[in-house]
Amino acid sequence: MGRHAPALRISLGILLRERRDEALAKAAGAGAIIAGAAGLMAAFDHDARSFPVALLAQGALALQMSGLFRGLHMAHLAAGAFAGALPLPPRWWRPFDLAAVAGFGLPFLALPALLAWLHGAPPAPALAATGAYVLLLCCLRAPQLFNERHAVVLSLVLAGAWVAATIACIY
Amino acid sequence: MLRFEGLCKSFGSRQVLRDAGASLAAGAHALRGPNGIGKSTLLRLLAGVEEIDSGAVWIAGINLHQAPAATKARLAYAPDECPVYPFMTGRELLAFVAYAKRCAVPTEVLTIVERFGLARHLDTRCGAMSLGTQKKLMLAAAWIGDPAVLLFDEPSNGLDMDARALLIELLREKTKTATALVSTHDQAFAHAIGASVIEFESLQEGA
Repeated sequence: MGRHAPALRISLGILLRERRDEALAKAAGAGAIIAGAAGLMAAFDHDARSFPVALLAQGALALQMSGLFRGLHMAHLAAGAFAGALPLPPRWWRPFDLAAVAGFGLPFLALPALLAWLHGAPPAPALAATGAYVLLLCCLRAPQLFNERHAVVLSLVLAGAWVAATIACIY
Repeated sequence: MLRFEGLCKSFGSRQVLRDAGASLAAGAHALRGPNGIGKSTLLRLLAGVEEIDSGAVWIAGINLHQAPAATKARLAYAPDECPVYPFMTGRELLAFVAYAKRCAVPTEVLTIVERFGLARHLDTRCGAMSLGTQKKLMLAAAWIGDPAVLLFDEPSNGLDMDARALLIELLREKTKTATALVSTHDQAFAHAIGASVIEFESLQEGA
């Protein structure tokens, strides 16, 4: 990543400097989802229903975090009148945006699985689920940018199908 | 060094460029024409920032459409405004341009930065810089990667007298080996850099 550090710094800069309020709002929302999931898991007394709750929370977190891609994309387009003249591939920012959003979302995505694991869920499925949801977060970039009008519906459908598939794979 | 043929560009029903062409050797060339005629559009097309409807552009013999990255590695473009990421510092902007051109920020550019008085602004966000400072930064960044073609849109706008004089000196030196196409209403500036004047309308005949 060394050579690509200036490009990655741009994606991180948009996320944490230019659009800091949005990132903080996402973090607060994620905190609320995690708190809700933790509360429900405690209400279930950490029985067999807890791990599916964690999986559902991870799906909700990935869906919520994926909204960050739109702001990043818009910021790159706004700078296109200058950056477009530089010898970079078309949509050069894609891998760096994915890395920035995945890096930002990973601690939040990992927390529900970590809670489930701390209360007796097996570690391998918890780890696999976290990996799957990081992948979901990356995949959600496409529907988020595909069409402004249908972004929410398309993202919701993808996230719902992903959660169902993950639960089916684990159980 | 800079050649374009049959360039056409329309925005909706308005045709801005119609079969424009020219072949420009090393030296300074000043593009002249009234406001809104399409000078900035032409520079954006030549820089590869905007899509061409039809026609072709060659920079140092490389076709822009066929090999965009190789072509853009040989050119520098400084637009009239400063459409960079507003959170970026001057230092980060220079590093990013050097990254894109796969080189380090050369000593020559650091000297230009120093001479423009930009050193104390290198850690300032671009969005917090004055227009003149932003302009100087964009112009200094244009020297990264030893470009064969420089496309500058109103480069003397917003510059103080010292910076203007320095830009003239830099362009006079650079255009001994490179081609600079400069859109400007500043006739004294065009004269000072030794530019040959190109009337925008004359390009439309493919001259």
